[in-house]
Amino acid sequence: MLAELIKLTNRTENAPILVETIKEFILSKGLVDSISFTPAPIDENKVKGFIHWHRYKPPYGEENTLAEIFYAESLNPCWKRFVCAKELIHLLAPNGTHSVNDGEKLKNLLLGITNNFCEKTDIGAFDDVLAEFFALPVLVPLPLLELVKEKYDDKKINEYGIAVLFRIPEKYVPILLTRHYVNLYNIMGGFCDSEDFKVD
Amino acid sequence: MSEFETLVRNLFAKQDTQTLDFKFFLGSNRDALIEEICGEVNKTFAQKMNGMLKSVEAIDGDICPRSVSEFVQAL
Repeated sequence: MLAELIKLTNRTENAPILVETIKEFILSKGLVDSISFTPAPIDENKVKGFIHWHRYKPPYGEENTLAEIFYAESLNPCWKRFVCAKELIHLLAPNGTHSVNDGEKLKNLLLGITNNFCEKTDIGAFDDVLAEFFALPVLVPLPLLELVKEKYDDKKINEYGIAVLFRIPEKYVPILLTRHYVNLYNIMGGFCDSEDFKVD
Repeated sequence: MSEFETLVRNLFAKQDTQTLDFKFFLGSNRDALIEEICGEVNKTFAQKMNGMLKSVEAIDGDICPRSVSEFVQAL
């Protein structure tokens, strides 16, 4: 289902991809009955946000499945979007699952990306970092990124400009500019078979 | 089940609902202690129960997407 969402955002010509689009997609699939976003005075230096997926039966009503996302109200708009998008995508891939057949290759690919990323940003635990990358292919469609990358190579736009265009945290932009992202995108979106690429 | 997961499940079990799953966005907060993270969750739920938190309709409803082709042509 994550691949289906990536294919959906892949067809757009506009940026940024709204979190609302992701929300509507999840609701249309009937995965939950409602989704809410709630800003809270959470200390962003401890946790940026969390999702609570639960069932609730009001005394005189039908049982509902709810996804409540709480996020640190102190985050800037790009971070709020990214935190909420990432938490929503957990509903599509609750166990880090995806649509490709060869999970081991994808894992290796992601490991390559996150290792590069961790070196640059001093981020630790692989599993937690991994989950953040499921949001990128949804929020940054490759066809749009390719247009921007040409201008980046010509030094007409910098990393901050790319972050603003896609409304994502700037720290993720270096990942978008690697060839790993192209592989990640194509595999997670189901645009190529896992045999079509080579993991270094 | 990890100590962290057990602690959080216990926290969520206090809610008047059946928890299906939960996930956290820790980001680069690798130094946060389990107790600190649970404390933030506990605090958030307490504020929710007291009606101090208000959900927003859309997280980015004020953003107007624009054509990327036109954007790059203008660069």
